[in-house]
Amino acid sequence: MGYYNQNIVKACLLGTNNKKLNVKMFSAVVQKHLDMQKVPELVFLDGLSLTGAYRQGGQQLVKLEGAKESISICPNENRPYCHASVVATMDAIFAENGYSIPALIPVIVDKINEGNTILPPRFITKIQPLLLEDKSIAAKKDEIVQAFGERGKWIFAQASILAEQPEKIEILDLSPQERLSRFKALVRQDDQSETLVFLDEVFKAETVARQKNYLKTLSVVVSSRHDSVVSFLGDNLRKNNQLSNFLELVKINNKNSPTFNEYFNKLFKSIWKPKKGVFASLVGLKLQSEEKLIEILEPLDKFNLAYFSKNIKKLNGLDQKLYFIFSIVPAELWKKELKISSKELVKAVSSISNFDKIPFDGFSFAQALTENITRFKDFELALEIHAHLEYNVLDPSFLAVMPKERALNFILKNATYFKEIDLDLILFLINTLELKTPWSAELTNICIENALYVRQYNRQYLRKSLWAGVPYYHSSGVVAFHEALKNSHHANSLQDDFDVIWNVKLKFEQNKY
Amino acid sequence: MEITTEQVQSIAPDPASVKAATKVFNKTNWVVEKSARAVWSAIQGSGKKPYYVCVDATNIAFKCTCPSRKFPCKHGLALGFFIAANDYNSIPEKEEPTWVLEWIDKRAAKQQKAVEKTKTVAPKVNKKKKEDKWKKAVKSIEQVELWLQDVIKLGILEFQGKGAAYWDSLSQRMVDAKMPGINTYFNHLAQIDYQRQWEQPVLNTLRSLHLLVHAIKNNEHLDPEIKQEIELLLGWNINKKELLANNQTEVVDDVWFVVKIDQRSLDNLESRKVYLYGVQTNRWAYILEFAFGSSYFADVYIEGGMMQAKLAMYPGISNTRAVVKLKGSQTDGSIALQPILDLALANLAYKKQLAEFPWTFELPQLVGQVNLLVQDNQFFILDQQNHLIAVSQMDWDQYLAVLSQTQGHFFDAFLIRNEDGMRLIGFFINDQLISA
Repeated sequence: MGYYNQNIVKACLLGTNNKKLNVKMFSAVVQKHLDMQKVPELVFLDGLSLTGAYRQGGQQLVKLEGAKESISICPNENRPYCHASVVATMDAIFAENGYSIPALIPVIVDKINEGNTILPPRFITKIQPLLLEDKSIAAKKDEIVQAFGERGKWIFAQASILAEQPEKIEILDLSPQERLSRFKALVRQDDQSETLVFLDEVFKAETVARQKNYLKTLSVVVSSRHDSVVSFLGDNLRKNNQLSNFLELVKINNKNSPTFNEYFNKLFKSIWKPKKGVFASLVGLKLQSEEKLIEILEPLDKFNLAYFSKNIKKLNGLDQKLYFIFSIVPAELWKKELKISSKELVKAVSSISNFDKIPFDGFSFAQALTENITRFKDFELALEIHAHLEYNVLDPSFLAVMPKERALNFILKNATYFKEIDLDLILFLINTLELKTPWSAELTNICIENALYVRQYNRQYLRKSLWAGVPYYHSSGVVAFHEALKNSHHANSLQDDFDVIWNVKLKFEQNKY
Repeated sequence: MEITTEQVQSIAPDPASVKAATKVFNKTNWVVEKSARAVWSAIQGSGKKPYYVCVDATNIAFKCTCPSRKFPCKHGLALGFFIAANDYNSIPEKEEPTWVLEWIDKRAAKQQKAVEKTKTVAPKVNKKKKEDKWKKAVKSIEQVELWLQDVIKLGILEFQGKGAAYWDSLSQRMVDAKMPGINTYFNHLAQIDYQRQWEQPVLNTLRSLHLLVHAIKNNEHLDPEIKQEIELLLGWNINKKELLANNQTEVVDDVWFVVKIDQRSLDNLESRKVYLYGVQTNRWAYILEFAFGSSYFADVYIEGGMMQAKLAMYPGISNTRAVVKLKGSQTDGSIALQPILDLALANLAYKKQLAEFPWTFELPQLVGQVNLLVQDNQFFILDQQNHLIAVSQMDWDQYLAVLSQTQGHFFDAFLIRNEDGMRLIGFFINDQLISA
């Protein structure tokens, strides 16, 4: 609170050594009570204390007419909340704070909207920052807002109002970190005109290290809408080889850019030897064209910071470079250039020795293809890889691109091999994938088998899944499952499950869901 | 017994415990049983024998046989997660095993003993000791007065160049002078951002310190209540046992909202301030506790929860600092709050408090039917009469979190009023207290 006028502030800043005390800076009321027999410093402090107390005591509240009427009220909700299992799964996803968030939030949101239900509003503040930071989630903004119902729409609108409020602080008053954060937020917007205005004010004056950070930030999200920004950065970079390389990286990371096409075409022209045939060419990458491959790939490797950041060890070997190609280049381009199907591509890639057997540096070629699928959502390729590969090289985010039936079978077959939290999420997917579908005998048998695995957490998850999923299943299916469990030769081991399932059945019949 | 996952997370001693507890929760094949007083389970650890873990359902306390020194340990928290994730009514009711029975009975007996003890011990007052303390304070405060005069002579522009060492040495002198409470002012000056709009806060602090020097020097003329409050301000804490034993100590028996828990770490010292609001007496109280090194806070409080308790109040003008004399059972009873009607009245109450005790750092207030307003990227509290007060320590996330609950409707707000404006620490809407 500003109790003190500029004269008092100035006097205090300079000190009585530099500026003689002048009591007229205090109001007449305060001056009356000052004892001028004291030393000037104590007189000043007395004046300060009296002024502060006087102003504090007389302080009135600001009144803003019409403010109350400007408050908007959220419209009524017309859709029910989603099931508790969905909420529990959302909590689990955010608690893990890992890869599952961008992979599964879009899937869950679609299911929520399909089921005409809504998410509780407390997840809004968790998802709101992701709309600015994550591309795949930002792309689903409309669906996400819809999944929160009328309240969500209203709250997101308030958040937009906040975002549009004029920024009082001068850009150049921001700290370097704050400027970078501002840049990070700006490059995620659709319209990049504000980014250009911002860069125009700050970029030229930044140091080499800070300009590098801007480039690194942009390289993660760059797309065609950033063409003018990339051009501006190129024109205003400080003269530095590393910065030039980073700029090249930014261009390569935009797969619609001429730079990307240039690299890709160079790769094909020099490496692929159509005369030797498709498969020979692929194998030839590893066996016969090593020097040429290295020559062409080397610049790409240096620029791929996103890849480097994942793979801490320096990439030296050919395997790692191949990994890079398979994970970063859209498979559709391979298929188009080589005129081959997904099946043929998978077969060819898997013919490279050590394809999925022993990982190097923690990765295998199969994982490279999995990354490719996750990045580019190549549905067809996903099916082929699933048909070809073992369970333990695929992760649950992969499930989002699989057809429902295949995903369900995959889950049921391989669920025991995933980590605990993944299992929770997988079982949620079982429930959502099974939405409106009757419980099947096959599912019964597979669940019984799964319930018996040695790792004890399985039973807990089975229990949770059944309990949570019952409203979506026909009660006859649950009864059948219960009977099957009771009559199975594993009955003794599953005693606990009987009780839980039976209670669930009773609740369902009593319409307690 | 009702508890949420967030509440369990909030009582964990540190984030690592939450992570470890989540792992235990996920890996355990739970067999949980309960009685009217407790919930218990056995958890297999790395050893041969399982750990036995129990939660006191009436008074939220944890017990575990594991050797961990953390409190609650990961097993206790994991059991808390289980209770939060499952329907409490579906947990089978069984007879308490011996180890649960003994622990719960022991707790009840301890509480009873504490009550009996406090009835019988008479207070001891050492007037001479107190007078000597004040005489020393009058002498010691002169160094603060001299420091203030030096500051005014040289000018506060000098503060921009002062490092941590400068402020630390001043603080040490106050500790040596047995007036550690004055360090609040030096800490405040040390933490000001001297790059942005710093002059007014510095002048306010100097003003307040100067007034305190004056009050200490003229302490014989002070009202006893003001004098007691200044003693607390100087850090002359009343011993907890003495407070509880004194039959003149005010004891307030009520059902208390746990509105907010502020926990801070500084070096090796953890401090915790628990803000409570009595739903029948409409009294505010706060409990201030410290844990040093590897020790942990003994009592568990859950933000947004309610508890029956008798609080022994520290004497003084504000009369809000308290210690727990007797804790009763958790309660979910309904309440009828009596908030201050609008911001103008709340402002008047704050000014009155300042007039009575100018060194009031903060005043907790419950103000009725207010709302949040955003203007020029700043947050304000607004009442039905269109009065505004700036909200301090609010960011977008908190604002959106409040909006998601209130949906734009006016609500009763638990606020802390200070020089910067108001801090929102909780709100009451749809018969529910939500911590902000």
